[in-house]
Amino acid sequence: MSNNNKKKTSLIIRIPLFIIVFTVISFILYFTIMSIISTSRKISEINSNFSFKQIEKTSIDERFFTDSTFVELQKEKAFIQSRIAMAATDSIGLTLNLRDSLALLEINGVVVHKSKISYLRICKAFNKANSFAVATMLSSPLNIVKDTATIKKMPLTVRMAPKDTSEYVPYVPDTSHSEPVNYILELNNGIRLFIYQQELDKSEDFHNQIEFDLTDRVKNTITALRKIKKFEVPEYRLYIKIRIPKDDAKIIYRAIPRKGLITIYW
Amino acid sequence: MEENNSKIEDEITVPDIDSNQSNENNKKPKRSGFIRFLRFLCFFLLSILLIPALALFFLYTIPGIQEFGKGRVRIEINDTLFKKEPPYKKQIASLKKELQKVEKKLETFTPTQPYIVISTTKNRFYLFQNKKMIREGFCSSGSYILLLTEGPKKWIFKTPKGKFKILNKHKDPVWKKPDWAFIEEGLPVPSANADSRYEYGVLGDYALDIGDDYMIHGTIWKRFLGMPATHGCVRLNDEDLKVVYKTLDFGSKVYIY
Repeated sequence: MSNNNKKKTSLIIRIPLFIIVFTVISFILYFTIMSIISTSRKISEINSNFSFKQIEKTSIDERFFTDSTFVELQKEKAFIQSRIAMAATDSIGLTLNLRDSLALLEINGVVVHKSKISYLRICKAFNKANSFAVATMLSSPLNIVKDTATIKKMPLTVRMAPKDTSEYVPYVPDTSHSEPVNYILELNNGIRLFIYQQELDKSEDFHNQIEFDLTDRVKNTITALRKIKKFEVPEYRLYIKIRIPKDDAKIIYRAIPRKGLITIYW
Repeated sequence: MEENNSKIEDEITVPDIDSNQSNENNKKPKRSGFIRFLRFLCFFLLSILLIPALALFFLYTIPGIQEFGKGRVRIEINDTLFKKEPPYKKQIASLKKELQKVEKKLETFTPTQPYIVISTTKNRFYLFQNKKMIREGFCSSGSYILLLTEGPKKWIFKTPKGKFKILNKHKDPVWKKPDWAFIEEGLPVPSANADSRYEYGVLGDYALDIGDDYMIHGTIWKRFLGMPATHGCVRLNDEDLKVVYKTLDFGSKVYIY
């Protein structure tokens, strides 16, 4: 009798445990598959939206679009045309020349600030999509639609006007405070541009960067989970991650307007 | 005797076996209890470890796996025969020509006349002539102070960013103090043309007007050069200001970022 009871109790424990483990594993598999599908979907979306057939109505030989010399020249032309289009607006724009690892600030076509990119990571979807399609996608200036940063765009100091001269304290600028500089610029075509400070000598900078990155990952995972809960494929977002000197990162973030323009040469 | 002895031995050994059995019976529940505890501990630890492991999987592994998403592999066939065809050469030549054209067009945006670039974050200026930098140094730009009053009036002391032109050049400029200059010091605001509004010598020897009451001028607050300290104007030291004044002309471009 006691043996039978034991068996029963162990089954009672084991069955739900098995169900839980099975559910967790199935969910992980489902999530993984959906995530991979999302990448494939994004790649085919780029290929179909920007392939030459839909935009070029010329009688150009199709073989040109698989020729590296032609594609490279086309890319370079598209990049310069994009910079010209950006220069036509009087706004401050950012040019990312990923070929030469350079981040340039431009006002009306004039390079006002140059920064060397020390680290660069581009999502593999860029390489997996059709080269000509990617070049077409990046052929015009991209608009910043959202930004998330560890620093303020405008570092305002609020002061109340003194009632009389006795209350007046002359202003002395304080430049001793140094804050970590990391930010994400989200562009209108879905690309996310991560700009991180290069220097990680201070533990504060290091921890801030990890925290900043983790927060973004958590947000993205929650969004993906919400989509998956509705049995929808989560959205895959193309990304470019760069590291530049802290001062340059700060200069760029504070210089470009909230809805500023970015040109990418890849 | 031998038989008797063996019987005695049997008699002796029987109670031994019984005692062993009873000992085992006593130990069994103790052992199984310990094993159960161990099992529970393992399960508990695993469940605790499972949560961060799952979190790490979703936060770091999944984005990594996503990179393996299937895509059409980039097809770049360098067809050598095609490259030798005249239409190919013609197309590439025309593309190169177009490229040169757009490159030239982009170059025209950079002024051939002298111009100045000012960084409000770094508080530095760069003076260019014939597209080459001829001087650089410290400056002071807007302090980013938001001055609030008890009433609705408020001011933000920031230097505007973008492209500007030199609209006017002044020698020995006189500063006509605006309302905020009195309010921020807790002084009563005088009438529009009161004598107390005019200050001599505070703007240095020269001033270059860039519009909307913003200027590039000198300063008596030289220790603040390289820092954000102004009400929106750009301050330079005397020597730099002299060079800038002499190099830039009416209509010269000023790029502030």
